[in-house]
Amino acid sequence: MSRPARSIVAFCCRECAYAAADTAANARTPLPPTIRLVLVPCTGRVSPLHMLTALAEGADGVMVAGCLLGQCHYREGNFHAVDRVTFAQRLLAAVGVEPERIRMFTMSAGEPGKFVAAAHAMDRAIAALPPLWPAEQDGHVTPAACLAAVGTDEGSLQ
Amino acid sequence: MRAGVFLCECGGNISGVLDLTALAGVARTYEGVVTVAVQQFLCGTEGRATIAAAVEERGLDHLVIGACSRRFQGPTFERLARELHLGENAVSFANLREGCSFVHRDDPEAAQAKAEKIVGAAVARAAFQADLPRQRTFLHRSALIVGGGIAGMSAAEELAEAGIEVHLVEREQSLGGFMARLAKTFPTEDCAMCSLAPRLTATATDARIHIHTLTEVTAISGPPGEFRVQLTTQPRYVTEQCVGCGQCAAVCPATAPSEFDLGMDERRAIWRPFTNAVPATFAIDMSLCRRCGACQKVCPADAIDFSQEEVTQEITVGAIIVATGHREFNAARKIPLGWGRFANVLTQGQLARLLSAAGPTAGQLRRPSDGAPAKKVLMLQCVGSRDCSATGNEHCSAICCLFATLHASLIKQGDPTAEVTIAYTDLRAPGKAHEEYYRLVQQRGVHYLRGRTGEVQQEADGSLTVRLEDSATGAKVENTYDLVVLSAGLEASAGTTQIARVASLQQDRAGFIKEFHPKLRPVDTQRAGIFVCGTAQGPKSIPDTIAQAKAAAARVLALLAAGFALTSAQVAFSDPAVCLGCGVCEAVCPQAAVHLTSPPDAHAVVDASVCRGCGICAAECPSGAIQVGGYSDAELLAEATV
Repeated sequence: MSRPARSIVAFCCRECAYAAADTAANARTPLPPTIRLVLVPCTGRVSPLHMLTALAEGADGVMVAGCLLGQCHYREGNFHAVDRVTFAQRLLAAVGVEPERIRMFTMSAGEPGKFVAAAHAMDRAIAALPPLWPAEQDGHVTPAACLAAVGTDEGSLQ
Repeated sequence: MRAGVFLCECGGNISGVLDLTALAGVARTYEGVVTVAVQQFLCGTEGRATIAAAVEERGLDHLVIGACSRRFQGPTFERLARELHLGENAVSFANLREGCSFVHRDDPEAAQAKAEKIVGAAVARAAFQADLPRQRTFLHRSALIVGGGIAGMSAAEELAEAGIEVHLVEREQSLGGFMARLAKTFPTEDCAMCSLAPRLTATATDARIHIHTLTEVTAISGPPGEFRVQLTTQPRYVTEQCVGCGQCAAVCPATAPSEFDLGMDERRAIWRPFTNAVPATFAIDMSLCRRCGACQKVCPADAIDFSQEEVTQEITVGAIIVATGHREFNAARKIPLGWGRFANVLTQGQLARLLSAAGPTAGQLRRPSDGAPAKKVLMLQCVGSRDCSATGNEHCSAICCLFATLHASLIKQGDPTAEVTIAYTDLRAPGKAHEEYYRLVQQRGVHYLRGRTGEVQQEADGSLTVRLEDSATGAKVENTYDLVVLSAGLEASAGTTQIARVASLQQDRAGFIKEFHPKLRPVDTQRAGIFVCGTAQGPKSIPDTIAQAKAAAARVLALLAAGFALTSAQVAFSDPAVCLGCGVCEAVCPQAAVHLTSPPDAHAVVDASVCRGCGICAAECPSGAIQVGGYSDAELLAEATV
């Protein structure tokens, strides 16, 4: 098979989603190779800066995976994450990018199946979208240039 | 940066899918990488030696470990880095096993490409990993044990013997747990109370063990070594002057099914679950009490006190052991089996009460419906266990085959003419002397039949008709029994779920507490300084529970013997030069670990001993002044943008 054209960054919390991913992996459950895990202490650590920069620097999708709502190990980190994902989605929509490129998923550490389902759902959703950077040919259009074209830059996202 | 990349074959687990030689070649080209090595087992002696030699010879300042998930061997390599004087944040992890080889076995080409990215991301983040400070904290030579069953008491006994102050917290009114309900224990058939009662007495009389009954842990904060624990105690309405004479219960007019007897007997509103209860003091169930004052009139010790109220106190302990036990699977969820509808359908727990010499029938086995002797008994195994349907649990409850075998043996010994059949799925008797015991009970005339049933039907006289297919012979068997006993499996107790919430512990699918690593750190939880033992961790027998309780006690001793504790390096810290003093961090911190100093120079200060490193503040900070050790913006962005 060929090298995956798409790439999805999955911010996974150490309390639930990353543990669920480990459990799924130890059962040798196949996952789409497009998904790459980034360990975070809590989804509450992930800011719009992280999500948008990942997209700006070449990812086609970002998933934020944390504990079940109401079961955050730090009380309400995942509620913050839901808010921030929604905020980032609105920013994407405002600049004409499909908001579903960023999505939030929740699961407990004991639900590896939910992580696998989330990974496949995200992979399918991104596969159904056109490439994020269609104009990127001959190095003429860079992500930074795209952001500049809609009146923003990475600095002001902070 | 001078980073060394170390790739682990993991005995074929990784190298069987990924070409590590090729990966090493690519890794060599990454900026900052000065050496790359491949090892069969990186976590073993040779792996450590390779890393140590490379650090020495090549002057490495960062290690990039391409191996299993950080959740498994992370602490091993972090400790090695500390030993090699590389500081607190010198290791970067590339999850090549759980994150790649295990999940892309069907697509090695894509796996290889992804592995290059994973290692690239780990190298990229390493460039931003700066050393982190850790502070010494005070270490309290005391421990909290949550749960006063056999697990909690065994651990308490061990710690007290070593001179540790122990706070033993139990949500029910007496210590004893599930074991106090049992008649006898397998495979020796010695009475449960014979081994429990001495422990109850020892626990009650040990000056180093402070017993808190009717108490729950309602909050935990602070670092290992200095956990601040909030305990909430429900009023007992009976003071310690109680002499345990029981005259109050004799005159109390309000009754309810006894929770201790699992509904096989009644209790009064003022009650004590069993004779050897610790503490021996009675207690009033206010949801049942009619406030008639009859108990107050007869109490010779003047111990009734209706003015008692809920009490909340805070204690500080160095370590915590979770020993919150299990509960029986709610057999009512299996509606066709008739439990809760038919009087003569019981669980093994209920049968234990009927077979107990101290139980409601003084050990006489009679049908609950009419009190007639039970001559024909059927036991159904795996009720709610090994059951992937929506109403069951997938796991094997581990003890039911022997629990049923024990009870069948006791019934046969009480009445040799009784007929006892055990309908099993697979007869599982691992464990010391268990197979031998199973064979002995077979010889005693207990009939074992391989089959599961879908339905129990009740006849007019209360007897129960069950149709079974003997899967060994294919014969269809339909019989009528006096009693049907369901071997309801083990589930996480309500107390286990409650402490998991309060202490932020991970639970597995069935709700049992997840251990840090099933083999390497089997009694550690994901939270440092908090340990787990007994059936709170998973179904197991009494000997296994006690062994695990003592292991948990040993882990507590190892922590407390160090003399001091360190705060985690992975906590938030604020740069006063960048901080705007807006206070958003203070508002969002779930631990109240961040405080703003007074104006005019208001800036955020993080208490490292309270912070748990979730990073909510860092994501919210508008200036980037607050960062989290190991998870700074720079580290995360480097990793996410490869």
